[in-house]
Amino acid sequence: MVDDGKKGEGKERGGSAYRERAKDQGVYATKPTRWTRFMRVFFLYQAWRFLVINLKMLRMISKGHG
Amino acid sequence: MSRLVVLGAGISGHTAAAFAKRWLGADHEVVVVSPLPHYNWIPSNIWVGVGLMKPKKVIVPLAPVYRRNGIIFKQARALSIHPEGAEGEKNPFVKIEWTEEGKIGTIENVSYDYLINATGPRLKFEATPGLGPDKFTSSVCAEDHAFETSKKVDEMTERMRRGERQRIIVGTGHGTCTCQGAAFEYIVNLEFELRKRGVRDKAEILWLSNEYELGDFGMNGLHLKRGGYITPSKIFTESLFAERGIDWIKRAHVTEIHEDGLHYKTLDGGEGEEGFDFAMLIPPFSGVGLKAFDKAGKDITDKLFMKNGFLKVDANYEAKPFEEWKASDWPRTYQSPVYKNLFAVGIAFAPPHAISKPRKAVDGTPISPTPPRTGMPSATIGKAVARSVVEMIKGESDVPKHHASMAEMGAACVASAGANPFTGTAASMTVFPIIPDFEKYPEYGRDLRYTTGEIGLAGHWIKILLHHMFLYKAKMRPGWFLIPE
Repeated sequence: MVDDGKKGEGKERGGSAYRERAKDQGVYATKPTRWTRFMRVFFLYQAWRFLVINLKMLRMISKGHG
Repeated sequence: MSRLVVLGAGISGHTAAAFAKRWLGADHEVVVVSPLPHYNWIPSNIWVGVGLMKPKKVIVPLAPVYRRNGIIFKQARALSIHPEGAEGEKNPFVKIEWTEEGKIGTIENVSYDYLINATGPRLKFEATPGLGPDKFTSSVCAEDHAFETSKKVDEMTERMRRGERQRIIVGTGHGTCTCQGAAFEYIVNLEFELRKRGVRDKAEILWLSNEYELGDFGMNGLHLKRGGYITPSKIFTESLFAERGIDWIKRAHVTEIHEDGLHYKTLDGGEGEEGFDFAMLIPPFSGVGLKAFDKAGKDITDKLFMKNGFLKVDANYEAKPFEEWKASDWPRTYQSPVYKNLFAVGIAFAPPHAISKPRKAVDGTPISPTPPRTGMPSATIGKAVARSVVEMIKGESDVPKHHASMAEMGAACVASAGANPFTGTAASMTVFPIIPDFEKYPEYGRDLRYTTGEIGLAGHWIKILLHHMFLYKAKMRPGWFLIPE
């Protein structure tokens, strides 16, 4: 993202040291690999995860509701 | 015949009323008082707010549902509780003001044997100058707010299509906000939608929140076993934002908002200013401002309610430092300690303290999330209280026997991160217990076997499934009671 400090009309906008720091934070964050991003939307794997997540939720519900 | 009155028809109140009527049958009355004519499945307001869903898809008109199921519905707002009755009125009652067309402004006293306060929050937009849909920011807290927000997103999209760059801020509009989860869902859905519309390169998106770290969500964050590590939710949330090119400012309290920008201060004493073309900021919550009076007409609001307007229940409200907080401080039965036929559920009950560690800026301004108590726990609490009240009405018990402490229950949360049946994703999380219990789980406060999370398309399918399941349940269609909370 490029912070040109301007609105569409070219008007000067706010912006602060905090914003500059915020822009740096993303550089140090963990990012997913291409493989991870692929698996997140790979239909067959996600169909399996759909079952697993539902079972996990049911297990948690059965533990905590009473 | 006894009468149970439920104030509010949100997730908690509607659940309580529906189950109470099912268990009480025709021998007793269940009356619901709610100022709006419909139930709103609030989690799906996010999709209304980005223009993917019409408001009518997230609401259920209450009158026909209640008529079909023998529940009396009064479209009115509660003004005051009179738990001892009044001069010439020996039964406890609630004073209500009708909001239904044709009866607007009519005052009525509704007597009760048992009362469940499920009035939810008042959206305190006035806490920050310039905050709210009537001023300079948008909201998704109600379906009509979300619809107006979607129109602003459309207008913004048009500007971007004309080549204008747009600055977007999403997050919390005050240092004491809760519901960071809703704002989180909104920012990632908006980012997804702008990509879909082909204008993402024209948008600069900023997350601004009162959380100490990203992923706090008012729950002091959570820890997950993943990839051979025990990883805090901060890492996952930062990763989600970094992946999507979303910048963030945390530990911030918005002090003032004007037409195209906002001012904020931070925990470390700093101050900042940001311009925006579009902002969706969650307001802080309070109780709805119910009053209470004794038989002589003396104001006893302070006896029943905390200063923030939430009803005191069987919690430990003793003020103590974070290090001394205990899971057992949290309420189990939600019964008022003063009047045994009075209960509060959902957002209406007063939490004993926050979940996230409270923090103040150097000038004393509190900047830390207040506790969320929406969705799954709200419904679970509503059902447990309904069960207790039903047993008390039927004479099966003198005391509420059913417990639903947030420190003893888990919650499942599915946070949408993009709505598309093939390319969408959502973060599916389970957490147990909701309130960290450091006596039982010394290191992280939670049982890591039941505290899980992952992001993927499966989560989006679950989110869609939940949307349809819970609207079906809200309509009280055949078998509705089999659907878990």
